[in-house]
Amino acid sequence: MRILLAEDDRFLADGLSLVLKDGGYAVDVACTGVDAENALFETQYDLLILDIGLPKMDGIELLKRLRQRGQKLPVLILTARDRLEDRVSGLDLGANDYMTKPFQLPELEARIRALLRKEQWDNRTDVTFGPLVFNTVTRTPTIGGVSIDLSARELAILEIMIQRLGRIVNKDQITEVLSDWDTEVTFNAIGIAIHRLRKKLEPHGITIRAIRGLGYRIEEESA
Amino acid sequence: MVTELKKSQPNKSLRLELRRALLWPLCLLWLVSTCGAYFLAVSFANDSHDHALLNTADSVIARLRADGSRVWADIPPAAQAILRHNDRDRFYYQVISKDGVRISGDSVLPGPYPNLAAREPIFRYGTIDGEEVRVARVRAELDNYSDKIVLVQVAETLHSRQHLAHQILLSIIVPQIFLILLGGVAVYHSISRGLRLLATLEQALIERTKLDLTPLDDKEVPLEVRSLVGAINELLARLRGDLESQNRFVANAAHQFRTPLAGLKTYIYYAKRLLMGDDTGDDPEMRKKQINTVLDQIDSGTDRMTHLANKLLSLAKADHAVSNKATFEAVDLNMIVSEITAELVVEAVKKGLDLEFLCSENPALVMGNPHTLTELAENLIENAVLYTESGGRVLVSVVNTGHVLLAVQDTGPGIPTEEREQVFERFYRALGTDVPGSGLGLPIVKEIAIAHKADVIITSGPSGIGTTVAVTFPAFSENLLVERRENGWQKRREERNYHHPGD
Repeated sequence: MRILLAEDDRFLADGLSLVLKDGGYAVDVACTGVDAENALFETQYDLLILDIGLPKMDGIELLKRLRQRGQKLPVLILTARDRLEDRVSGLDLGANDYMTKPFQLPELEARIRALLRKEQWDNRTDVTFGPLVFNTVTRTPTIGGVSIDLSARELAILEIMIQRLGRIVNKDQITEVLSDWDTEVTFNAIGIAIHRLRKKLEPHGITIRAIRGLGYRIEEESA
Repeated sequence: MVTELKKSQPNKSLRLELRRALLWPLCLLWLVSTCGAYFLAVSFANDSHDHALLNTADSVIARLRADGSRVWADIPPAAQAILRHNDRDRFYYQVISKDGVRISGDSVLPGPYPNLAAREPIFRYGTIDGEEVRVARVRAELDNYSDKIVLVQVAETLHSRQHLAHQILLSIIVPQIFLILLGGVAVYHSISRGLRLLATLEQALIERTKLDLTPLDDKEVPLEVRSLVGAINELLARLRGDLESQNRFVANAAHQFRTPLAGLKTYIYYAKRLLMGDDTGDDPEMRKKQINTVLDQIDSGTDRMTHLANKLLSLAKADHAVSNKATFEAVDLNMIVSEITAELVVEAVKKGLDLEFLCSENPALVMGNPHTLTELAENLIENAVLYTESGGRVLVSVVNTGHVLLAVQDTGPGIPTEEREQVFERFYRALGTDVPGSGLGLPIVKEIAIAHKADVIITSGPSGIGTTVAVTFPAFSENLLVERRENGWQKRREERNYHHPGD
């Protein structure tokens, strides 16, 4: 999951991106409205966290233009403005959620998950694949009620595979989800992560098959 | 005393004022015209009745018969009845010799008027049986009479003429009374209508919420009140401006406080999560390092909030200084500025800046509060140091050319012309929030400058590079100096003298 954080305050932006990256998301930070818009042109983001008081182009303007262009990604407004009119106008312009600063981090994370769940999982909280149950609320995979311990990167890969069940996921798609501006994930690193993930899943009858030249697909091992 | 007097006077009523101004003249006019009408009516009635009386006298003359020395009126009884008794008045006649001796006719008539030789008819008033009558005397020539000339006196009571006069009077006065009453009613109504237009204005103002500061509609109001509405609208516009800047201030202040707070919360949350640690076999050394980094961030965030709080407090103090001039004294700006520049040199050197101070040749005396003036200089120089990149130059100078001028000139990024007003607005950040700063420095400067009646002007530096902020103080008045010498100036000097030996 790749998130664009449009926030002009470096202090907050750095802290937030630290927390979100720790949660397994890829995060890019844009400090001005113009930077954010350019980033949205270049990259397919899964979520935009938007501050209203951005320099150069304010968040409201950015949101308006974004929706006019027909970009459908979920937008969460994160702002110090807490007047009712601000909330209403923000949501009416096409934001999906609105939080005021200062906020509780667990709540922010839950709202991000909820927005992504709606977008990516069509609001399902559990996705089942063979013995594997992936809980989209807590982002935890379990098999027979026992959770599988995965690193942030492994989790992100499993997530994208389960999202595209039955389809082949190519390396570019995985790179897009895992990378941000600070860390470009190499194909090699992806290979290593997939190798580890496979080792953790295979004892439970699930494997990730490499299809040469195309990518990867999650499959149930026929016993 | 004056206010008490004013209080005891009730508000003037427009309605009463208009009524007084219109109704009294109308009544006076009515009185005058009534008197005029009365005299006119009486004189018209007299004219027409005198004419008739004369005719009657002629008829009597036509009936006169003479026989040598005898003269008599040959009026048949029926004609006499007609003559003597019309429906209101009694009629009398008399024939007199030219010497004034009655020859025939009624004897009750008043004696003839002197001037017996007059040829023209003579009218006068007299009384018969205590009743007022009008008497006319006419001269007649009788061929058969020995003397040839007789005088005929006719008289009638005044009832008819009085009646006519009354009627004329009534026909003039009654419509006049109606006219005046009608006029009064019309005036009253038009006043009320005019005032009703004001009442709609009043209602429109009453029905407003305190947040509705849109201009009043001046199309519905009378022309005379339009300037009042204009003035109210101007006031509303000013309030609107104030409210907008207040709203901007609140929004910006919220942003300035809540964003770093959100940042602090985020780092604390992250630190907690690091400490709880999911046992993924992270290197404990690594984790310790991470936690340290986070703590450093929290520290710097707290510093930023402290700085912000301090600035806000000094802004509040500067606000207070505007209304408190009791602390003003004569201050040499050179002293203040050199002290503060010396303090900031450390910071400038750390940043690799060239910070320089040029003092004026003569003492640069201004009337002011030394603490707030220090704050003003500090904010200006601090800003220049903060926004000028390494290798740049900051020049602080005090000039005294009658007016004292403090100029701070830097080689920083400069402030675009269109933003030079806005930077004085609280929490306005010309450069976004990438550069540390509270957004309160220049507003504090402005506030202190206002308190000292000084002007702050932002221009580009020489050859368009950087920013120059110039604060011009009003000319120092010797009178003020004399006035304050006993307390402030002298005291401060003593303090200095006292401190110096210890240095």
